[in-house]
Amino acid sequence: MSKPPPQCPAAGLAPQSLEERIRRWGMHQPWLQEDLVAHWRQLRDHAPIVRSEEGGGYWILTRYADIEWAAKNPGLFSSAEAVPSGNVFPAKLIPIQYDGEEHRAWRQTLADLFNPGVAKHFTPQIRQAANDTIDSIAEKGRCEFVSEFAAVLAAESFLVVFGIGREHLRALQEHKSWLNQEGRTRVRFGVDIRPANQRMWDFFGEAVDRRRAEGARGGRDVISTLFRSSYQGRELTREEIVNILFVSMLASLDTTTSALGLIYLHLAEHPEVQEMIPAAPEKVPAITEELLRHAAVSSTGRLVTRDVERHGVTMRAGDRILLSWGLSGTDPDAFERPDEVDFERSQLRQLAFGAGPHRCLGMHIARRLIRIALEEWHRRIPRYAPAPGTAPVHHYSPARGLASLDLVAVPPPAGTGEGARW
Amino acid sequence: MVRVRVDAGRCMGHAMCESLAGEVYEVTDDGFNEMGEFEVPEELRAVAVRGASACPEGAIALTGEGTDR
Repeated sequence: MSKPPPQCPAAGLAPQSLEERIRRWGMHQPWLQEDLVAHWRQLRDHAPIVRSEEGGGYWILTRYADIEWAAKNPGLFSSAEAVPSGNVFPAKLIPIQYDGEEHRAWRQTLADLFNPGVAKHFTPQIRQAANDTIDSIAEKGRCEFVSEFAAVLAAESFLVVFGIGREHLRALQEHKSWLNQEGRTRVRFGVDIRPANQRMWDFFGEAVDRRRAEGARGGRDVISTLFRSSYQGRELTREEIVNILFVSMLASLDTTTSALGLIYLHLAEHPEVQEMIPAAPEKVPAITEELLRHAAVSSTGRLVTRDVERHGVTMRAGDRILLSWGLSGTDPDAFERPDEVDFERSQLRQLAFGAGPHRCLGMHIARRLIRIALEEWHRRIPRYAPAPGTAPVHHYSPARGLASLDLVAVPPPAGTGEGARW
Repeated sequence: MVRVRVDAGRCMGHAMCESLAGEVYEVTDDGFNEMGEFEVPEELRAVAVRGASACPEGAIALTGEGTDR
């Protein structure tokens, strides 16, 4: 069941003036949760660079060209504080909080882990996980899509690709929801959650020990590959491997869940696209790209390393900036009719996975997962719609998306002989 | 014929060319396009253009008559 829409107590109302909304901009603001895209449009129409005074203050770049410029200028914009949500982990995150030579060396170490060959290798297992998840949904003919499908498939695919094993789904999900619900709130109020987070560290440590005991030689899963990898000519330590697993989990689960949620929100409201997917499977990669552009989920942070002027604004060394790929995807200077979904568009260079040296390492796995989800879901549940009387609940976060999306299967017209169950 | 030139120095392994225009482009297991310079028949021009436009690094150029890149 969906939560009812928020009741908008006075404290949760948006400030009246745009200037004040910009000053108060923050992922925790109740008034930014439901219609973020409309607020984004106002920011972008107002100025290419705006400043929020929340949480110590930070700049927001609002246009594709400037967002790409910042992402591709790591010398000017450091990733040392790439995680806007505070410290949830007792070490510098590999590789996302590294810069320069060290970062290059880590990317080299990690390059083989998530490449298109690995995505292809694990396709049958991810397809199996997708089908197992769809089984009960197809049986019921309805679901809360985010918790029953998107989050499960994201977590199961992670467990498959990393060599942890799908049987650990429940443990992973329990740790993860603790981190999201309690952990992050405590971090925001300045509480040190590292001791409480130890169990997540242990979960990954045990997975590494288990894989080593199993004799993982030759395995293409991430943990086995890390056993064979080197960093600047030496083997990785157990702590570094656990660090990489933790970071990968942070980077993959919520983002993929959110991407699937927003993609299916569009699909649920567009039966003509639902029909296109099984009818033209060769179009699925293009459909995926366009829907990712239309609703890119991630935001990341950078730290200005030296004073720089742009569009008449001076950003000082030590200032923080927010880069939201979703803002870039809906910029009318970069995409014609940006709010429309158009699978035939000629401008295809979208930034849902970022740009520059820190672009998403897991993008090939994520794209493959979305493609498999689209193929298998539409084979099994060809027609569906938002459940009557429900409304999707949005959230704004470093991986903005949906908290819930209730769907019901729609029976095919009588006499078509397809999808007999419905 | 349409002449395609892939700049290996600019390719960063996004693999978007193969994903969106697999009839013309093929990437390695690492996602890199190592095809260099090659020709494709005129009827694949639109596909070749599509793959080139999808490249986030702008590493693919089409040359020859009537191409606009």
